Amino acid sequence: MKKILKYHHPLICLVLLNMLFIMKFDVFAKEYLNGKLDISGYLENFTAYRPEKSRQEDRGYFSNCRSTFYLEAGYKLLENPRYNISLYGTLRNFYESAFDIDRDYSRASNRKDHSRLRHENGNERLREFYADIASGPFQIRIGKQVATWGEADGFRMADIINPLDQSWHWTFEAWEDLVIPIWMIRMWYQTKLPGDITFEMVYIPYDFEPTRLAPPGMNWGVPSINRQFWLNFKQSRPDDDLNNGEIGLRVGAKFKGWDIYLHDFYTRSDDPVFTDNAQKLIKGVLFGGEKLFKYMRYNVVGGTITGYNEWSKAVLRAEWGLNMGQKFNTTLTGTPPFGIRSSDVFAYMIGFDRPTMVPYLSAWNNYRTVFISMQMFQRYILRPPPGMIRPPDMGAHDTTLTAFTLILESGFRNDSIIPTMLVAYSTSGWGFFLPSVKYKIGHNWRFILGGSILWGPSKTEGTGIFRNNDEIYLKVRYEF
Amino acid sequence: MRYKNFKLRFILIILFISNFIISYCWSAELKWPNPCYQGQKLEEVRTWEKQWVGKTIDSTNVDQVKEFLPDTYYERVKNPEKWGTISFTIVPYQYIKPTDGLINATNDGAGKASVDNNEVLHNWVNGIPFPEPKTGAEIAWNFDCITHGDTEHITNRAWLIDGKRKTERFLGRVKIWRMYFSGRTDVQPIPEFPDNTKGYRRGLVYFFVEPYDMRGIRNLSIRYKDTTKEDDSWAYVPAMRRVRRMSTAQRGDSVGGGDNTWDDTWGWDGHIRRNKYRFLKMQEVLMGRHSDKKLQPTKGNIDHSGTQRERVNCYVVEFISKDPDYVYSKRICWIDSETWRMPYEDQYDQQGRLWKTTEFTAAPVNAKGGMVTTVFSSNTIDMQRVHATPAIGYPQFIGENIPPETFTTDYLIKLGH
Repeated sequence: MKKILKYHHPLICLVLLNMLFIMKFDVFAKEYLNGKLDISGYLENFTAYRPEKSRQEDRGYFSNCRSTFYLEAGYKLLENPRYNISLYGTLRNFYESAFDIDRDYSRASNRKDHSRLRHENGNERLREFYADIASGPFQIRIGKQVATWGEADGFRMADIINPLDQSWHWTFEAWEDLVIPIWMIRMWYQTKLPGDITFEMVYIPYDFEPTRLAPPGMNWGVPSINRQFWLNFKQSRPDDDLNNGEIGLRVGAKFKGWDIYLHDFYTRSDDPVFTDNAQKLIKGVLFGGEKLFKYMRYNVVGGTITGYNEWSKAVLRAEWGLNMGQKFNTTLTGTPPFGIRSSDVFAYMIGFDRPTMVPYLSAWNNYRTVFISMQMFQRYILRPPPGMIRPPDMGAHDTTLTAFTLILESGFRNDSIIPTMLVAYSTSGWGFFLPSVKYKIGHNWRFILGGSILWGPSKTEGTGIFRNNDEIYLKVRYEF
Repeated sequence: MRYKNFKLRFILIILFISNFIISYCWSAELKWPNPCYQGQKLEEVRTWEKQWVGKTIDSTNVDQVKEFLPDTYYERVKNPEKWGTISFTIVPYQYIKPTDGLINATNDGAGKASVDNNEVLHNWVNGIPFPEPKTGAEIAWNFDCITHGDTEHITNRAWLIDGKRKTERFLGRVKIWRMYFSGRTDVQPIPEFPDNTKGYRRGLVYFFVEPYDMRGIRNLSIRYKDTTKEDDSWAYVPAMRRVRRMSTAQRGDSVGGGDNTWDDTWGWDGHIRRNKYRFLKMQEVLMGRHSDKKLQPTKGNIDHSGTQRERVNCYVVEFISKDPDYVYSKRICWIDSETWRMPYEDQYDQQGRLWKTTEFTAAPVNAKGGMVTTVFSSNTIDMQRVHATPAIGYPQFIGENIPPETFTTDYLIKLGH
């Protein structure tokens, strides 16, 4: 009995909660206190299964069996004509039981890492919590939150304020589940100048979080990063203090039907560079405790532009970013410690979104449009220093990365069945294919059956590093 | 030379006098507002009502009032085995007087507006542009120009009903804010916001509250005074935490998976210039104009039961799409000659077959300077699939100004999480 409770308690909770709710007719977002407080959320089980056990390094069948509880609440604290104050928060906890149900997977990975990834850690359970104070054209948002500036799907040029959690399902989840909220202050000011010019300022006083990666041996662990390095990533994370300050400004305007934004963000890189200090390295390797990685600062200038084009009946999107003085390791010495050199990196995305009636499909889906979204992305490393170690999605000697994405989505039977397909392809050969079908049953239940096929010519480049991790998954979600 | 001057003067005087007589006659003839029934016709209706008011109509006795029902509605009431049990009650006709602002604006602007061959309206400021319409296009513009209190905040709940499987699914709850920036008649500033430099006609915000997978989506669309300009639309998508520009090209697309399309909102919510119009006839029909009951759908029943219907004199107008690829080839619309709402319409597919019907039941509510009607329930029925999307409206307020910044993308960002 104890064993059942230990391994299956999320599922049991799910069933019990369903039994409580199923009696009611409409159990959805609830509003209390005359609509001032609203609460909603979901319970979810996400199980991912890999059909080709033999090809994976850990030889496991299950890559995920994650049960999640998510609660979202908003409260209007004060409302009057002069100013409004509201609070918003989200709670999330999960239990990852893939190590419990799959012995091969469990053996391949370090036991100590299981507890790290088994559930949400301490303070992280409170994902977001902030207060909004609005008065006329001015608004300030203080607390743990997510700031999004970009227009691109999947490519990060402007969306670099919050780091990503790539530890449990790489980057294949919805943005809101991937992103790591951090403590910051955001301010908006809406002017009455021509073009509706707006200003937004972001200030992160002390909180710093690097990109969260899975340890080696785990399903989504990066093979080239060994466990000692992975542990040192965490040790190298700067302490929370005012030296971590990051600041950004965004200016927006509307011009002839186009929404145009420009931004500047002075940041600390979410991805580290290896130390160039030989003494530190020797000490760290021999005795431990040394910070072998650095999260270096650089400046990002960028912008976005979107608008509707009447001729093509599509929304056109573009985003660009220039990382000035981004730090990279170089292998000039041939052996560690590597050197650290600066280089500027320019990237852009152009794309379009177009809901389209497909004549043949229309007979099947009752004239529901197919949403077509395409993007082209290019990144240039400007004047790369000799021996530079490229970002992991680029080849060892490439200075340019070109990639394309295509998203197709439609609804059948009044959107109770929603098939979606995402394909990404890089000209260097790596790519992935993510098909899924969402099925809505009744008021509260949602089922998503999906999969991922990943490929790449090299085990060290792009999604090629996960090329043996093709999976099918099922998400069962109870929404309330 | 002298003779020529005399001749010119004579012509000018004649022109002036004839112009005076014409305009005098026009103003003398114009009696607006026009109730559906007056004088002897009203007495005739009252006599009919003595026999029918308070009676419940269902499949057993619907034949007796068939002449007052659109054929498609009669078909549904008559055949409960296919469409489920439908009944309604007959109530007396009650005149709904327009607001003072609408009366003044209409009388001030009478005779000035015109429609060209491309269905574009000219010389209109506010009010009803054609108090005594003669053509289908004029009726359509009257329907489009009325602002129903200038502003509105309403909450809608909608369901999906499968008549064949006898199942129903809750589709969602949405909060709607609508405000006119120009063509206003009731709430100051009239007729237009003084700083409306971008030429807004109307702002519309949808905020999806339920179900969870649509929760937090906020859709903003802006319509412009320039009727040749397409709407602008944006949506805040919580899963991405960003505002996305939306294409307004596919207004024939379903709203959130329902049977109704974006264009079906309020009967027709597209640009008037997108159709050709043909005035078919006047028809007295039983329509819900004082029906403010919250008509919760019952499982498997395609249509609302329990509506209160009164005799209303309606214009029947054919809306024929100019776009051959549009989802509907045409609509037959019943437009209330008193409130200028569209209580009922039949929609036809590209092959010209009857596809859907949409009904709106409304009731008058207090607004600035009088009463305006608002929609309390609607239902789009797919007659081919025996499928429906009934919705209930809960008006929050009408005729109170909404801060204009509500209709900006920055507001969507600031309101989003």
